[in-house]
Amino acid sequence: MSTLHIVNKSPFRTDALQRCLALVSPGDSILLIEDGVLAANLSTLADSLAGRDVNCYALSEDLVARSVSVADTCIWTVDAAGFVTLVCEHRNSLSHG
Amino acid sequence: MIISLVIHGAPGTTQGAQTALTFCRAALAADHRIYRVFFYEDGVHNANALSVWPQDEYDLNAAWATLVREHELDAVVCVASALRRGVLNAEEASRYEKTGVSVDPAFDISGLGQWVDACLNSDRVVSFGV
Amino acid sequence: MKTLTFLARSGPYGSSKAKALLDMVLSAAVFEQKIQYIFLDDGVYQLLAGQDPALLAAKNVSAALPALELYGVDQVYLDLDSLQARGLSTDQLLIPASTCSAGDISKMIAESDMVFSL
Repeated sequence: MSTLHIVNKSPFRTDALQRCLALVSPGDSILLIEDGVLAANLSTLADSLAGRDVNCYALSEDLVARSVSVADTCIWTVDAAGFVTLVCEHRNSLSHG
Repeated sequence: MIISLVIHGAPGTTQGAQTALTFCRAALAADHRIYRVFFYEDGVHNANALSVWPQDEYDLNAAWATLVREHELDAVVCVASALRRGVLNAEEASRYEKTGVSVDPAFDISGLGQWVDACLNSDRVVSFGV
Repeated sequence: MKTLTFLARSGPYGSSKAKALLDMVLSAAVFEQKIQYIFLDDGVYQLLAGQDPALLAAKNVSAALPALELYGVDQVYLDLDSLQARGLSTDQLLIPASTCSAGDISKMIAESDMVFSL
């Protein structure tokens, strides 16, 4: 039983990602979408996920649109179909405003 | 799985409504059942049939209405949010003596009880545009 | 019965989010679901006593808080770190709320069927 945390805000504009990181439990996943994918090329994100048993994903449509690449192999890319699969694989989802 | 969506964002202002549409299509393509799409707060603007988009832009209002019709989705617009934003059906327009009807008939106007009902009857509820 | 958790993270009046989440909480309460209403981040400002938005031509968002218990919403929590980070203390609040930590909130999220955050 776990939660899919969805972050759609730039880490440079709001602390949504930081607040998300404060609330994730082991076994949870984080999905970066929309402006949230701007965190995907930050090595600091990989650092803060290290050893926490939290998978991190970024929505490929949003990465491609913004020409943002994923910095670290610990962040997986998923498309919309993968987004749906992630929702189904977790007990609940939390869209961090 | 049975999935419902809650959409908080207006089309063209934030990306949330477009993300939700793409998610909804992907869920349907994967043979999941969409129990309800609930439009709340600024999300009700997605149901405005009077929107006119430039020809070279993607008409998100039309895209939602088309998806709802094609898949016979239960699409509900929150009445309290809708009235404030001028998204009215004939009944509400008449009740409040307004001259125009703006909601696309593919969408129902109803209360937050429909959102609670969606929570009770869905395996997953995903919020967009918060 | 489902467990619905609500994270109130926005301050009052600057946006409609506080009111929008409160309306969701009250609607869910009418359907007699298990509700966990958690105030954290700027949401703790919603709990401050003495709010007077008359000059903003806005309704007092906090006016409904004392009625939560009548609606059966008795699990109201407050993130102590958020409160302290804003230089506030529990004696400034309009209603009693159980204090909790980020770890407690994580546990409540994990035990929820659905989570809503505004």
